[in-house]
Amino acid sequence: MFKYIIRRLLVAIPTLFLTITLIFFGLRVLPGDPAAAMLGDNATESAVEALREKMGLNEPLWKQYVDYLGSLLQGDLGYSFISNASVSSQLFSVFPDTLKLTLAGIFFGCLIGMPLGIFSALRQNTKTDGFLRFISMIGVSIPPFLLGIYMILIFSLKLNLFPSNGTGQGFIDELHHLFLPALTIGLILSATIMRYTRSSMLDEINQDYIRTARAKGIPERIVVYKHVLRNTLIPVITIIGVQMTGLLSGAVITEAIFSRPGLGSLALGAITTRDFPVLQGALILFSVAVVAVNLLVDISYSIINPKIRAK
Amino acid sequence: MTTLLEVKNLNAGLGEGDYRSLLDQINFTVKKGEAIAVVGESGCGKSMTALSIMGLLPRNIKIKSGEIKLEGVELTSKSQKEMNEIRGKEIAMIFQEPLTSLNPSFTIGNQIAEVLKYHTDYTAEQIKEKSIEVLKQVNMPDPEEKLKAYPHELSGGMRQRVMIAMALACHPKILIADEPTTALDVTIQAQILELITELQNKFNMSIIMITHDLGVVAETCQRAIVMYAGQIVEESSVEELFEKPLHPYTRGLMLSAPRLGNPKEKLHVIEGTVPDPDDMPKGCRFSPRCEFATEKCFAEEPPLEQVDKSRRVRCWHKLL
Amino acid sequence: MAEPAIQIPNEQTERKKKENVRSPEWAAFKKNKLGMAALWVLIAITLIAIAAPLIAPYDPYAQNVANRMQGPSAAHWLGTDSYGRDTLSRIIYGSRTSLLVGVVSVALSGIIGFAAGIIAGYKGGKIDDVIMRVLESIQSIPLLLLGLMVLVAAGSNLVTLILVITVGLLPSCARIARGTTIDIKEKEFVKAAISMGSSTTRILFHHILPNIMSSLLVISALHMTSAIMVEASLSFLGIGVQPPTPTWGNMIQDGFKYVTLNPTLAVYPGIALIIVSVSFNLVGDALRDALDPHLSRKR
Repeated sequence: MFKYIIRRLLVAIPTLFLTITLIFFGLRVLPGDPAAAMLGDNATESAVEALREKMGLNEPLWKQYVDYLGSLLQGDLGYSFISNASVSSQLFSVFPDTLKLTLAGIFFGCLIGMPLGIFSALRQNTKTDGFLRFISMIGVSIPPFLLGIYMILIFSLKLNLFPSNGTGQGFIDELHHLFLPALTIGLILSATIMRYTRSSMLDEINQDYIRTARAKGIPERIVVYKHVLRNTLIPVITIIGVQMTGLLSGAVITEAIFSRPGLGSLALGAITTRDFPVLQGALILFSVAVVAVNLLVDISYSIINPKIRAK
Repeated sequence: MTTLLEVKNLNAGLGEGDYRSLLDQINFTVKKGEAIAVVGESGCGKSMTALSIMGLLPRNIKIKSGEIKLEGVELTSKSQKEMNEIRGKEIAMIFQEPLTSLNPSFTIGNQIAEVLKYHTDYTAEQIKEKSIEVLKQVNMPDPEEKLKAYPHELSGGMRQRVMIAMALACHPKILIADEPTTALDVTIQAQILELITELQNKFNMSIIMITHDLGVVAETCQRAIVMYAGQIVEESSVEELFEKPLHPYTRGLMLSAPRLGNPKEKLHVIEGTVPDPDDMPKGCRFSPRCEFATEKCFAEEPPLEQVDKSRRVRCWHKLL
Repeated sequence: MAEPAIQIPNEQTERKKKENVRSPEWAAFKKNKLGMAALWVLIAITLIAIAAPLIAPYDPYAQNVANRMQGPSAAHWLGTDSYGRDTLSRIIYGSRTSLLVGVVSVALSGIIGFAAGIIAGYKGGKIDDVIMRVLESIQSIPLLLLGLMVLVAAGSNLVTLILVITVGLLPSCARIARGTTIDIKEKEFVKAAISMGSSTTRILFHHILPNIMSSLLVISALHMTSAIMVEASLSFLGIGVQPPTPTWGNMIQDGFKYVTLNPTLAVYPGIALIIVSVSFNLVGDALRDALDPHLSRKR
């Protein structure tokens, strides 16, 4: 078990390192001068040059890279070009908002997706099943920003049930503000979870050991809840890992539509102001999150599933 | 010996509208303490017969008509809930693949305990004792330790022992064994068969042994039913069957079984395959593959004829 | 006398074989009603996109400020936008952008991704490790953010947009190709062919490619949805295809600005987007069912 975790970590580290490298060079090799962009079209060449010097952009690329890695190891993500505030403090101040939104989204996704998937599988090849599968097909085909807009149109503007922007004050108000954006992310995730739960469940129902359980004469309820569900839902948690990038993209754009603070809004803002350190930091944090969640999912999967543990 | 299980005119098949028959007029009885074999190639309806008795037919396959009586009590009309009182307690079943027949997520102890939990009113303590006892009965080494093991930690033979232990936990009257040794090594096969026979005698249990292996039949059973394409084609005591098969299919099966001590002998092969339920031959279902087939065989289906007290055969040209 | 016995079954199997020769996959696909319907929808939309100048009732760029923000009417079936442009005409022209971006990026990512996956799977070892690590890194950056980053830095234009989406779709293409290649490489008949000295090209073209083509077809259909969705999202954020070129994404953005005045402005292009992406997914699913009967049982 311990060995397995170590082995997984050893694979995750080079991936992360490579990602950081890709992000770093990706942002610099591409055309576009952050100093010029920051100062605007009317800036003189000497002013741009002075700013480049100050920002360390005139150093050779490899030196910038080594310096960046060095400070990254010490947890230093640099300072914002715009506000001069430390990037890490900026990221961490909005991180909880994104975390809340994502977790609430996963909660809705599981809450809606898993039962519907099970229900659909138990009624395989009936009209109900067909209808649910079609709905889930729409769910995986609708981009989050569009669903977000439709949610605002229906629940905020038409029905006036939920606020369409901001985070709110106090616990209840915060939940009230969180509901629509979280449901947006959750609905889209639930479509994938439903499809996956359904096929995983159908897979499970046809297993030999389910037939054994039936042959033992234990009640159908126990067969479904104990033998089928356990092995059905274990693989379903892995798709939360697989869906993590999609989930974060969804969170970014949902934050933008619902005007909520968070990593997404921060990154989008940094893009328009060409605030490289902040953008870089946000992207790295996103990829760390993706890698970490996948790692966690793999490890918890191996804990729950005795078969993998043995390998 | 008293009759324990009686299957009468059982018909089962796929679908409702364009019904396709999978079991056609299955008739047989099992007496108390008797071991009978159901023999045939794969796809001939052996397992389907077993699953009908268990009430575990796949959802798309339905019993169309017929009776299955256990000690005079009709089973086909029982609900799944009522069948749960019978399954595992009165009739138990073990399967071909011990590798996949145990749930990988639960311990052996948990899976044995389940049977006892729903069929007895034992306390947790008693269930544990009984579980150890049944594991001992199937000659499992360190039964107490094994209760905590997961299926993947055991070998194939061990897992089949666990399956048998689970089946026997409530002392069923009938054990249906569906190809119980096919997936095992030859040396283990013999041990498992020996174990089944030993336990059969010990508990005076009836056995329905489903197999394609005539060696297994000879070793464990007293009577044999040969099935082909969803029908019974021959029934006989095992002795008589081996001495003189009456149906060309039975003869073919015997000739195609390898025998010891005659390595140079060329094995007989029954040409062709079991027909698809979608296009059954018009006359005798075996006729397209039969070397003795005549025009009558292609035109008319032979009835299952009582030859003597204990022998039945379905053929126009019995090999007398 | 035994002769008729041999002929009866033979005739029947012959008949079956003949039916099977005419592509059983296509026959299976045709049975899937939803998939067929979706295919027709896509054919219709493609034709509309190609013939946009003939079909669109108005010039999608023609502004008419006097007529702005109108609801549906006989003259403008879906109303007009904030510049008084005809919404229906803009949706029709928008399909061109969506399909163009989708087709080109899916084709590029399919070719490059499958090549990389086959090489990784076939060669194994270090090459495999390097390719897979790079792809994993790409996958750990959300495609949307990757797109934003590149498009902001390099400037928004159609070519860059297509390239970014191509890069984003690469990893899953490569993974599928790699998995299938490894599977096939391990098959006995391929091992035998290798051991008997079959050339790499022969194994590639005879054994691996034919088996991978069906996965390529399926993933391409599913990736069309992803590509179209990402293009729309980026355009919605104002960083994909730039106005005044009509795309569904920037039309929705424009509509969202005036959502309180005329909500339908955001709704219509959204519906067009959903119809196309659902159709591609349905076709992809139907293809998977038809090409892989083993999987279809589960779906």
